[in-house]
Amino acid sequence: MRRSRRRFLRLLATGSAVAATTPALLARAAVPKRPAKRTAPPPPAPPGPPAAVAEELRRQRSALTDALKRIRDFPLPDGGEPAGRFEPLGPRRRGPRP
Amino acid sequence: MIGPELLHADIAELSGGIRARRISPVELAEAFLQRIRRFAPELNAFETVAADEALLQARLAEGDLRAGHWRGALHGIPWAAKDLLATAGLRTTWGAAPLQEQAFDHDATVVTRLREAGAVLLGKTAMIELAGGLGYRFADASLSGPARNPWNREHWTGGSSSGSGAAVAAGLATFALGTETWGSILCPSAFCGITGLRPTYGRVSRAGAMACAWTFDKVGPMARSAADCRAVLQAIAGADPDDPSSSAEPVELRSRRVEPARLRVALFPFDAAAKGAETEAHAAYEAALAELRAAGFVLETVTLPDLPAAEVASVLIMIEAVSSFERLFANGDVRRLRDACAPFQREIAADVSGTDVVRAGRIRRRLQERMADFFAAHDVLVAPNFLSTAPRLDADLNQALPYGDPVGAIGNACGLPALALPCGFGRGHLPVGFQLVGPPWSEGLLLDLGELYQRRTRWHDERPPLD
Repeated sequence: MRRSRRRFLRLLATGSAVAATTPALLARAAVPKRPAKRTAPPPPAPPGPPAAVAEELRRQRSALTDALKRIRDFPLPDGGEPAGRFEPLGPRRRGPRP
Repeated sequence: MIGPELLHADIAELSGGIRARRISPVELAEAFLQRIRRFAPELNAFETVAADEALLQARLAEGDLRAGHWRGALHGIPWAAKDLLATAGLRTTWGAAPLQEQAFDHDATVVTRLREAGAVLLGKTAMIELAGGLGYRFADASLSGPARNPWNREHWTGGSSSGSGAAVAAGLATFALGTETWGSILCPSAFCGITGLRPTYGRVSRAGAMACAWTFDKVGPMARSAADCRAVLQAIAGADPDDPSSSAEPVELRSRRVEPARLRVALFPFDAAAKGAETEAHAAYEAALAELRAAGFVLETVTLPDLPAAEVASVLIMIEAVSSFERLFANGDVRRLRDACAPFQREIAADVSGTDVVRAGRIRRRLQERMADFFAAHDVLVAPNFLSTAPRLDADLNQALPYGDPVGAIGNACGLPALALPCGFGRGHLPVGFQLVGPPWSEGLLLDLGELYQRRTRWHDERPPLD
C-alpha cells in the first residue's frame, strides 16, 4: 500500500515536472538558436533507386491506389457476414510451417 | 534398357510396366537422372538434383516389388518438387538468393505422402523467388536464372512454378508438384504445354510448404495428362493435422463417365480485343471449344460476377506476403533478391490500412457467395488460360502480359479448383492452353472432363524438340 502511494507520488511528480518544464521548453524553442559550431557534414543520403526502378515503383503505387479506391468505394452493408472464419485449434503433432 | 519414349510416358504406362516388373524403378531413375544432367542446366529447370537420394528411393521401390509389395500407381514413378516444399536432407531455397543454403529437418506433408506412395524424388525444381510473393517483373527473378521453355529456349516457361513446367515438358520428370497463389500452376502449364491442376484451397496440405499468402496458397500436380494429375492428387489430397487449413472434405476422385448433355457448361469467351491477345491463341481456344461441342457439350456464354476480384486478390496477397517474409525485410536480406522492387514492397504496402484489409476480406466473401450462386446454375466453367504464348526470356512482363488472367483472380480469390489443358500451338509454335474451373471440391469432375477431352485430342502427347 505504502509502495503504491510512493509510486503514485513519483508519477505525479514526474507529470508535474513535465507540466512545469513544458512552457520553458516552448519558450526556449522560440528563441533563435545561435549558429551551431562547425561539425562534420551529415552523411550523404543513401542513393535512391535507379530511374527504371523508381518508375516501376511509381507504377506499382499507382496500381495499388487504384485497387484501394475500388475496394474503398465498393458498397458494403453495415455488419453482414464475417469476412473470415475463426476456429479454435487443437494441439499439433509437429512444428509450424517453415 | 529405358528408351527415350519412356521418359515421356504417362503414369499408367510406367506404372503398368513397373508392376509387371518390365520396367526397373532403378533403371528408370537412372535414365531420368541422365536426361536431367543433359538438359536441366540449359533449361534452368532444377535448383537441386538429388541423384543419390533418388537412387536410394528407387532401390527401395524395387526391393518392395521383389518382396511382392506394390504401393500403387505411383510406385517407382520419378517426380520433382518445387523448391519451396521442405525436404529433409536437401536444401530448400524458395528460389531466393538469401535462402540458398536453407535446409529443413523434415519433409513437407506432400513429400511424405508421395514417398509413402512409392514415388521417387529426383530433385527440386527452380522457381521464381519466393513464388513471386514480393513481385517480379522479369523471368530472371529466380536464384537459378530464367527458366527456359523446352519448346523454345529463348522463351520463358511462365511462373512461379517455372522449373516444374520445364521439367515435365522436357521429360525430366514424369510429374512435378507446383504451387499456386495466383497463376503459378496454370501459367507454366499453359506456356509449357502440360496439364496442371490447381486444387481447391484446403484440398492438399501445405504443411512444410513456404507460405506466400496463407489464404491463397495451393499445392497441386503438373503432369502429362489429366489422368496423371488424378493419380498424383489421389496420393497427396486429404486432411492433415499439421495443416489446420486442410479440409476434411472427402476426397472423391474416382473416374466417372461424363454425360455431356447433362452437364451445364458455362463458356467464358476469349477477349480478342485485349492488349497482348494473340490471334493464334484465340484460334486454338476456339478449336478446343469446337471439340467440346463435338463431344456433345452445350456451351452457354456467360459473364462472371462484376466484383473487384483482381483488386481484392492483389491487395490481400501483397499484405499476406509482406507479413510472411517480414524476416527478410528485418535482416536486410530482401535486398539480395533479384527483383529490384522487392525491397520496397513493405513501404508500398504501408498504404493499405487495416480497414482496407477487412473490407477486402468482406468483398472476397461476397465474391465467394456470388460464385457459389454461379455454380448452382453451372457445373463447370470453360475459359482461356492465357491469351498469348510464352514471352521472350528478357521481356518486361508488365509489357508482355498486359492482360489479366481471364478468370485467375476470381478462381484464386474464391479458392476454386481449375484444370489447365493444352489445346494447340500459337505464335512461334509455342503451346497454348485453356482451363476448366469448377466449384470447390469438384476436382473429380474437372479431371473426368479433362480425360474426355484428352481422349479426343493429342495435344498433351506433343513433345518439345529437345533431342
